Amino acid sequence: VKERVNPAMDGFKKLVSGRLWQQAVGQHPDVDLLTAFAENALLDSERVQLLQHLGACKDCREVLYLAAPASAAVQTVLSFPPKRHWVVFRWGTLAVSVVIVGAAVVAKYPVFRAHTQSPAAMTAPMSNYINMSEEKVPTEVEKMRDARSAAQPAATPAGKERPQAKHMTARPRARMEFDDSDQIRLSTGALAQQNKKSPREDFAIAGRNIAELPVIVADTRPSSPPAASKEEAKDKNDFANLDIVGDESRAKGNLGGRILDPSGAAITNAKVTASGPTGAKTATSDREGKFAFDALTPGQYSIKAEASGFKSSEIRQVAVLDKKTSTIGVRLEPGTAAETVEVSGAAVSTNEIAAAPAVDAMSGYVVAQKQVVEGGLQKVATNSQQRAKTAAMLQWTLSPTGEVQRSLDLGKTWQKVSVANGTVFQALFAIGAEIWVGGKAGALYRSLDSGQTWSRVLASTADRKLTSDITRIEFADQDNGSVSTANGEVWSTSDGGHNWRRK
Amino acid sequence: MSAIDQPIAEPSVERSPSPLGDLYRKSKASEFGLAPEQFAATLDEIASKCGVATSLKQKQEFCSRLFVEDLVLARMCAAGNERAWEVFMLRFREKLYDVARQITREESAGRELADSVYADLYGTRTREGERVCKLNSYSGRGSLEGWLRTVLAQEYVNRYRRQRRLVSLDEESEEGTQHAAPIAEVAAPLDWRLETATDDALRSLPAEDRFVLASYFLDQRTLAQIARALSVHESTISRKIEKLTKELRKQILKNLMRQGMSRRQGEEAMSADVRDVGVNIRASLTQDTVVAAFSEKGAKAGEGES
Repeated sequence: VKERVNPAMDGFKKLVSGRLWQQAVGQHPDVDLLTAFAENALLDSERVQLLQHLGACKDCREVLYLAAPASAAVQTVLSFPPKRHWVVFRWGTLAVSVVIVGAAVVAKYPVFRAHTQSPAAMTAPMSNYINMSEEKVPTEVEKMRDARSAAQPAATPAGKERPQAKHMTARPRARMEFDDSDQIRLSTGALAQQNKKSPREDFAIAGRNIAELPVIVADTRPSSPPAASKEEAKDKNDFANLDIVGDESRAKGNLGGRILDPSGAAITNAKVTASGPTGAKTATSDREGKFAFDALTPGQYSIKAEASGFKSSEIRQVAVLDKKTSTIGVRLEPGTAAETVEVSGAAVSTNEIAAAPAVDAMSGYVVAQKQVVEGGLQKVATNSQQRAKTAAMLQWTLSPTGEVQRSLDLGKTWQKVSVANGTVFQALFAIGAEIWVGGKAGALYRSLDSGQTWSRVLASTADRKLTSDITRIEFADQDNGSVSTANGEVWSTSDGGHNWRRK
Repeated sequence: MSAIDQPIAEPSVERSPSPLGDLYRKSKASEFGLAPEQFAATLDEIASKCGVATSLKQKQEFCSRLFVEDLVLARMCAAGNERAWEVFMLRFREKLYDVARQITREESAGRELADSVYADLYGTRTREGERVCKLNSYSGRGSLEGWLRTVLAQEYVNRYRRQRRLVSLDEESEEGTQHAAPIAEVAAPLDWRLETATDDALRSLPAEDRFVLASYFLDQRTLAQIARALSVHESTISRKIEKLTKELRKQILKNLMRQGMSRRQGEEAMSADVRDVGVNIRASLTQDTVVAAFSEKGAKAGEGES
């Protein structure tokens, strides 16, 4: 029972709290009404009336909250998917269309330019290609190279015409070298280092030997297997030692996943930021809560998910592997965006399970959430291991109205489990994935798969059947157990419920 | 012998000639020797007491929602039926102690609380020569287990308040309790316009929203607790609070502007330090007295029914 507004609350909260405190309190409702409210059994009109009182009466709220079961077993937890308005869909679709068209135009632009240029233009100024690169070559070097190109255009044998660039699909990784015999060579040695060189370093090298100049070559290969591309390039261009590794869709990894709330509902428009070796990228979750990052440089990433009304979640050490698709499930807890939940060691699955739902609300996710990952990459547990771990994390309870409920999040939220319609259960016992529930008129059910399927157990001896209300179920192991009834009978089994004895 | 792993089959229910007959069977009243006429009279009494059922159809619908089995058990216990008490003890005795421990968070206090409520339930007190049994006030609108929980919680709150009133300053000193600085009954008053604007904005909110705000801001309940109380998921409450806060702030500002403030003045008034928002202790004490009366009300109800 608190008597004073918490000083830590901000001004607005204090203002509202202060005014709420001073509301008039009318006649208190009786215990029956409070109980029926807590169990969602009131008529709508009564509910509104009671809520009006509860909004103003601290004491009744206190009683209501104190009376709530610790295991939160009273209520069937309902999950409401966020409302989506068609207006939003229409605008969203329009925005997506614009982005797609824009992306297509941008991607195709170099192709148009390449096709509209004459062969002469393609062969003469190498700076055309240079301009397409992210790495800028100093102007002086460009001039020197242009001068060299201009001095020797006619001398170029027809058969050794430079290849026409079709389009650039990736950042160039190869180097074109010139020598005195006008042979052009492409080399790939120490590509990474060369690509990281600053223009100043390139210039210094160029000052000594122009053959060292980094010349950008567009990747002309289609998205066919690398070997075929290599052969094709060799046949067409007669380039020796061609070993271009510029196709980033193969050289890099992908990362995707889903953002869900604790009930398993998808969170739309969550902002996901992947921070890794080459900086940060952002993506937004779609209507199914899915997000994807393509062509990430392999390495360790930190994934941050933010959504309105939820605590931010930051997952560190998410491994993105070369030519693999890593999948990650992020479950956001309700709260304010200013609060951040950090998770070190990511629940990452690689291609093997990416085809299956990456984040399964029922079986996969909870297990994945608890697995500790060394170095960011985890081995995918087998189905049986997952089932065992899931069973270990499940919690079971009965609501006061006799419904079976289970929790996947250590008692935070509870879901109703349908066993037998209309049966009121009064006793429950769980041993691993095996669950027993008993209730009115000898109703006894068992599940061997953590509540996915249930079968009825009819306990009987030669002369009598169990028909009394079951009030207690206890098992020492999977075979030996007993069932107590309201009329004082105790039925026991030593073979997992196949045969019974009555005491 | 037994048959295991048989497909789930619902037991065949014999068609009853009337809804009342159905309810009577469902209640197992016959096991405790309660005649159908007495059963019907009990239902009539509850329906008229609740005042929600005016027509016959409404009454039938209302009664079909009652926990009739629990209701019969409670009424038969109140009537001193031994068989009913056996069943009650078997079903609820342990739970009563568990819940009391959960509420008090202490073994001995929990046992004391449960014993006290148990005595009330059993009817150890007499009034005008008649045994007063709290179970008589149970009307079956919620489950009996839920009702027992609420009774325990209410008793706990009442005891807490009684104890707080009775503990003298000397005792507090002996226990090492530091005396709190006297709280100014009326703290530095806010701008009346801000008060009025806030009150108006709060009044315009639906009852459920006020309940959510009071629980979250005033009682500092968690999202999970509020969600449980309203039978929704906590993410729903999270979204609701965020939305409510924004809308409330907007509405207060609007009300302030309606009272002649400029937008800037309104924003300044709202952002002013309201550390000394008046907490009306008198109002709190008034609540105390009503709660005391409330606990008596249950007893009176029981008295009236016995």
